[in-house]
Amino acid sequence: MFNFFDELKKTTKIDGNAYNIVNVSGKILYVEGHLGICQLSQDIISFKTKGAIIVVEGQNLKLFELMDKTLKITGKIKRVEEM
Amino acid sequence: MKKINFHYYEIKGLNQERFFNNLSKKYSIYELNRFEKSRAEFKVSFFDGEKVKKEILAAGYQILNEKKGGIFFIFSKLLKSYGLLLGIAAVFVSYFVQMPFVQRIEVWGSQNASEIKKFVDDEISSRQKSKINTKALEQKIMAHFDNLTFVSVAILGQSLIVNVKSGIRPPEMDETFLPIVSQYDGVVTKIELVQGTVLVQVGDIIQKGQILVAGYVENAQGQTLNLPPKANIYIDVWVQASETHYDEKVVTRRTGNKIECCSVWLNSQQFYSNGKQNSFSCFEIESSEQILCKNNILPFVLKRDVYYETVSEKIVSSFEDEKDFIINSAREKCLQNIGESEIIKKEDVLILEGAGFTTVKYIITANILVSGEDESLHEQA
Repeated sequence: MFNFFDELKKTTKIDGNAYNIVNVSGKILYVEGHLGICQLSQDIISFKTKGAIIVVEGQNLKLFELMDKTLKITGKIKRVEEM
Repeated sequence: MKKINFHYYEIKGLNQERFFNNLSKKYSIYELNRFEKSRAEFKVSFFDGEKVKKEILAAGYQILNEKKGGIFFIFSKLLKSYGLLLGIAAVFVSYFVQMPFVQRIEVWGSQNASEIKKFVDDEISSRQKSKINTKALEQKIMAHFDNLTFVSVAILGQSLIVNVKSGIRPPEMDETFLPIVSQYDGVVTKIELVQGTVLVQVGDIIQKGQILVAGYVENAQGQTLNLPPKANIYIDVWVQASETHYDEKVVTRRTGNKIECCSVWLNSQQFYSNGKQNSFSCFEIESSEQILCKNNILPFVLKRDVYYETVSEKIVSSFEDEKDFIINSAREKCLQNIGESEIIKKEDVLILEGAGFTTVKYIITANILVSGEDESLHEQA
């Protein structure tokens, strides 16, 4: 089965198994490989990944789905930063 | 499915990140919105709702609001609506209790439906389905109402459906048919049955008037159906005729002479006579009367007597001289009693000699066909 992230890693020949993040039009942020949320509010959501903390800034942020390894953030996403 | 069937919580408490991290390892969390530092709302699967609630309370959070939604929630709500369940149960119980009974009677296909309905209502002793004999009811309706040609009774659900058709009954339904009866004495040699019930067998000796084929049949259900009997029955019959020859006999014959006497009468009074008188010693007389006036006032009657002169002669002849003629005459008599289509199988001559006379008996054995088609006259029941 076609996997977008695997295909990217294969074509770029860069090994990246820590996490995957997809930003859809600044309204949806899909994250694979999170290790738990650190901060949760309507303006900032930050979560741990393997070797980094990702901070998402925006407005009316909401964790649309939170599972063991994946999460989906909805709202107006202004910035995604790795700390 | 999880979004449609959800369990919503609004909780209050601090350090919620750790709680949600732990909770997300066990359950999926949806639409998590932390709108205040100490307050957050989220949804979980409907089935995980109670477990999550325990987790929330175990973590020391306060549940501010709790909602349930979705199809499963509606079902679970229905299951806890004991009044509704009781009502449904009562409907089912009442349905199954009244199932074995006929609630209404419907009559289809007849203008006098109300009469039939009333008759059926009176006839059925019980409304219990198992005690209603539809076949017997059909026969009773058919017997009670003359103008019906078809009756069907069936129980559909809780209705007793009586389907009837009015019209002219075919003659076979009401008529009885005359059987095929033998017109001869004889022996049955062959039977070709078309329809009916044959009452004789090949080899049976039958008498005149005996029933050969009856006008009914019995079907597989044991019912007797009337129908015109049709069959070809072949019978060997013996037809005999006799002729007697006398050695001496006196024959009287007319000579040709005659005297005609006429007279007119009014009641017992003679008014006119032609005056002629009979002068023959041996004669034969022919008399006739004719009414002259066609009224009762003067009933004149013309009487006419014609006298023929006769002579008697003694004829002496031997049987041997006239044997062939006598035998042929007896055969002719015999043949008069046999039809043209009948097959002559055997002819016998029996000569009986007496004192001064000889009797010839001619016997013909013929095979006769008795067919039912010509004799299938039917009579009204």
